[in-house]
This record gives sequence, structure tokens and C-alpha cells, in this order.
Amino acid sequence: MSIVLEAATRNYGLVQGVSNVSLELGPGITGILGPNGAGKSTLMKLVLGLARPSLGRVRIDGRDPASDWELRSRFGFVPEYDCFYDHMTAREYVAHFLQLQGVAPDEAGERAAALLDDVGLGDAMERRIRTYSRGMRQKAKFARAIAHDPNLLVLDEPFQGTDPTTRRLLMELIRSWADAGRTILLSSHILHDVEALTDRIVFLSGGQVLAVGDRHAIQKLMPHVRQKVRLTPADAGQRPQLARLLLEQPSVEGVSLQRDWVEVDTTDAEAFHRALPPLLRKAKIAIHGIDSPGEDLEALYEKLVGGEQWEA
Amino acid sequence: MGSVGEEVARLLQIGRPVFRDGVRQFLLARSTLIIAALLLTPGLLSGWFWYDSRGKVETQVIAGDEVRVFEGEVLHAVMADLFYGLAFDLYLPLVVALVALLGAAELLNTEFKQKTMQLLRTSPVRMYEILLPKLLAGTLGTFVAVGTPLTVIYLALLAHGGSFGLREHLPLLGAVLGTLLLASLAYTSIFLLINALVQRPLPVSLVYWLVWEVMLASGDSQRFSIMHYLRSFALPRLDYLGIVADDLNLAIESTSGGLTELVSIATDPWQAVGVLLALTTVAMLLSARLLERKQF
Repeated sequence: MSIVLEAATRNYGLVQGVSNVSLELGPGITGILGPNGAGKSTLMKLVLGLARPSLGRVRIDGRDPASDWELRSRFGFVPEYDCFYDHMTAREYVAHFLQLQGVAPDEAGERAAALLDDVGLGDAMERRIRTYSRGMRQKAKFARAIAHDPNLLVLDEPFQGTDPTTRRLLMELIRSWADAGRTILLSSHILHDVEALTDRIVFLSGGQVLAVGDRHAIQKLMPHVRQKVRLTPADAGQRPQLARLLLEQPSVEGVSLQRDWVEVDTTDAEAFHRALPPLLRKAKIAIHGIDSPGEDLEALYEKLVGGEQWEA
Repeated sequence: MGSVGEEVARLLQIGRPVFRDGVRQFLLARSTLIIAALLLTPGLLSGWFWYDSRGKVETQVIAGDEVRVFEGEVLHAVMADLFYGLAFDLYLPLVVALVALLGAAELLNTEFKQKTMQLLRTSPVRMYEILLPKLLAGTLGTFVAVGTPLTVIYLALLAHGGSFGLREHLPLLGAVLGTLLLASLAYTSIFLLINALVQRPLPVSLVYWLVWEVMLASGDSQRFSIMHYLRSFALPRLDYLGIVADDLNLAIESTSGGLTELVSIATDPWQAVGVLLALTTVAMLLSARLLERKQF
């Protein structure tokens, strides 16, 4: 399914949920990242039609999710919060929502049982959900969200409070749904979770989109952010020569010699990486490894949220 | 949108689980069970009377019917008066609204409290497809929660009049249960609307009930209350007991040429049913509209 937000703004009284957000998202997993209060949940509510934009518009496959009730048959939603009927068992809960999708009661019961079995709740499905642990509740929410085989899955902080085993199981499920061509929006403030599932990321902060793309695309959006690049020569004895050559590069701010490698500070990573291959060829220096220790998602996230990319 | 037949079939399919769950939720709610138990207590009057009158009740045959008499009073008539008083002075004006109020909150407000409303709003259903079964569940729940104790009380009281007494006042029981059904429907729809309208429905519902239905439901202004139409529906069915408009607070004083007299302001019973059904329909349409447009 295609998700299009055009300059979407959503205010809650004087509080701004999201501001002037324009995005185009398609099948596969898209991670929505941002600190608490960044606007992740608001963005998801706009996509699901639970909130209407105060300004701008939201379209799912060209249709308005806030008014097109039939479109919702293709939505699966795992909210951040608990959303259960206290008096229901997990099987009744999943079957109840399947019936709202138009599935006959008997078939709904059977499908609910099979799904709950798949997510590891086979033995507990006849127990009331209020007796469940946090991880079991997450599984029950997932089972309900996917029971009707939706095309769009919106997962708001889906791993919150889950143990490692449940987390792994849920991640496998999410990957399998993405492989099946579904569109998945996944929000988290835990970067590792998103990083493990997708490279396609929307960074939100203060209700605004700070960056969109994979980590490399996002890196390009931050030309002024100081980054470290670690070069490990095949011959450690060439480190001083390499350091001198690197210092001559306009994109390099500083170089430090380490025991096995040379660490470069650059404010223009793209220019640096462009200039590096001819430089190494000319000096006949073989490189054993290049990596960027500060370029993981966590570091990018902190730089983006900290506003470092806007500094001249 | 499909044909009317398709829409009805869809409504039945979508509505069934919502209705079934709503009835279960309503009737198993602690508040409903406590109120239903409390409502049975007037039946204890019957036990007390049985103890007090043992050996003193005579049976007389009047016009071929066996009529029981206690200290010169025809028992079935006394008990029918007692039942009428309980039903029309206590249960119908006060208890039904209270039960419907709690029931509507259980049916709709818990959807907000448990945050399941967001799930309903992301399901392919229109809000009236959720509200209508909830209205029916609330109506049935209120009817059963109040109607069962009323029926038990009827049986317990009128049994003192023997089988003749039980048969003789079936129209009274019918009038009470019919009025109760209409009351359950109308009050449930109003309280569902309040639940759709405000975040704290219980105090608002209580204020509506006390100010509108209890305090303003007298004199000419009562035409704006549900209770007026309920009494108007019941009035002709109580005719056989000699009940007149004034007994049901359906009469006002009118002065003409220096002469003051009581004039009935009762609405035609079928018009009263029409008004209550129209009110229910409007309340449901408004509720559905409000829920469709609710932002989260």
C-alpha cells in the first residue's frame, strides 16, 4: 500500500502533534524513530485515520483513511498501549475482531486459535487476557492485528516490555510480513529494534521530520556533522604516511594515530570517501578495513535530535 | 452502499458479536447484579405478609371466582395497588434510568477506558453498526435487570390473591413490562449519546437525569421529558384499575371562568411510542456521528 502525507499538520489544542510532514512510503518496513513526544504516535494515528490532519492531507492508496471505512479492512494496528476487553479470553478477543471483519463466528474461532498457536499462546488462549504477562499481551495484540491478513501494519512501540525471546519471535513475524509485500510502519524509541529490522527510517523530533532514508542517505543530509572514519592499513608501518596524506585533504579536520589504525575527523564524509580511493592508489597503501565508529543509528539519532546537522 | 437486504445482513453479522458481548458485559457487571438483588427486596414484603396473615385469610367465591379476603380487604386488589405503586412510583421513574445509565457507561465508556474504541475505529465498520447492537444490548440488559425482579415481585405479591389474583392483574404486569421496555430503550439511547459526547459521562448523565427527568418532569414542562411519554403509554392500560391521568402526574390545573379543574395532558399512547422511537433514532444518529468524528 502507498502512504502519502502532504504537508500534514496535526494540533491538539495548543500542543502540536506533527507539523508540516510530507512523506511517501511504500511496501516493506519503515521505521519511525524519535524520542518520546516526537510525534510518532500522532503520525501513525493520521495514517490510520484515527486523527484528521488540521492542515494538509493523508492518503492511503489515494483514499482518505479518516472517512473511508472500507479501507480499514486492510489495516492492522498494534497500539503502544493495552487495548483489551477485560472479560475476554485471547481467543474470544481475536475472534471478536475477526467477526467485525465479516468472518463467520465458527471460522473466526478457528482462525483465532490457529493464530494464537502460531504466536506461542496456544496453551493460554482460553485464559482471560487480564491474567497475561506483558509479553503475552503483546503477542495477543499482534495476533489480533494480523488475523484478517491486512496489507498495512502499523506497529506502535511493538517491543515495549517484551523479553528477548518474545522480541525475537515478533521480529521474525514482522520480517515475514514484510517479505510477503506488506507495508509496515514501525515506531520505536529503541534504535536497536529498528536497526535490526530496516534501513528505511523516518526521523522525527518535535513533530517534524528531521530526515528520511537509509542511514547513508541520512548521513548525506548532515554535511556539517563531524564524523569519524577509521582506516586500518594492511601494513601498520604505513600509518604515519597515511596520516600525512590524509591531513592534506580539505575534507579532513584532524587525524590521530592509533596502534593499528588511523582515525580521521571529517565534516564532509561524502567528499572524503570520494577522494580516498585515488589517494590510496597513488600512495600504494593497501587498506585492511574502513569503518565509521560513530555512524551507527544511535549516533545518527543523537546528532539529528540534538540539531547538530543544522550547525554551520 | 449495497441494497437494504445486504445492509441488514451485514448489520446482523457485525452486530451479533457486539450485541452478545454487550449483553454478557451488562448482565455480569457487578453494579447490575447488586442493583438486581436490591430490587428483589420488596418481594420480602410478601414473606412478611404471609407470616402476618397466616390463618386469617378467607376464600370467598364471587361470581364463580375464588377470591381471597383478609380483614375485609380483597387481597388481589390490595396487592395490585402495592405493585402498581412500586412500579410507577419507584422502579420506572427512578431505578430504570439508573440501571440504563450504568449500563450505557459499561457498554460505551469502557470502550474508551480500555482503548478498544481505537481498534473499533480502525476496523471496517461504521459506528452505527457498533452502536445499534449496543443499544439493543443495553435495552435488553436494563429490561432483564429490572424486569426480572419486577416479575418476581408481581408473582410474590399477587400469589396472595391466589390463581385468580395472578390472572386478574396480568394487564398490570403487561403495562409495567411494556413501559419498562420503552423506558429501557429511550434511556439507554440518551445515556449512550452522553457517553459519546463527553469524557466523564457518569456525572453528566446523573445531572441530566436528576435535573431533566426528575425535577422538570412535572406540570406542563414534562412534555420535554421521557417520563411523560412513558406514563402516557401506560395510562390506558391501567384504566381497568381505575387509574386516571392525575394518578400518574399527567394532569395539570386549568382555570377557566373562575373554575379550576384538572386537565389531562397525556399524549396519545401510540404517539408517545412514536416520540420515544424518534428520540432514540435521533440520539443514535447523533452518537454515531460523534463517534465517527472523534479524534484520538
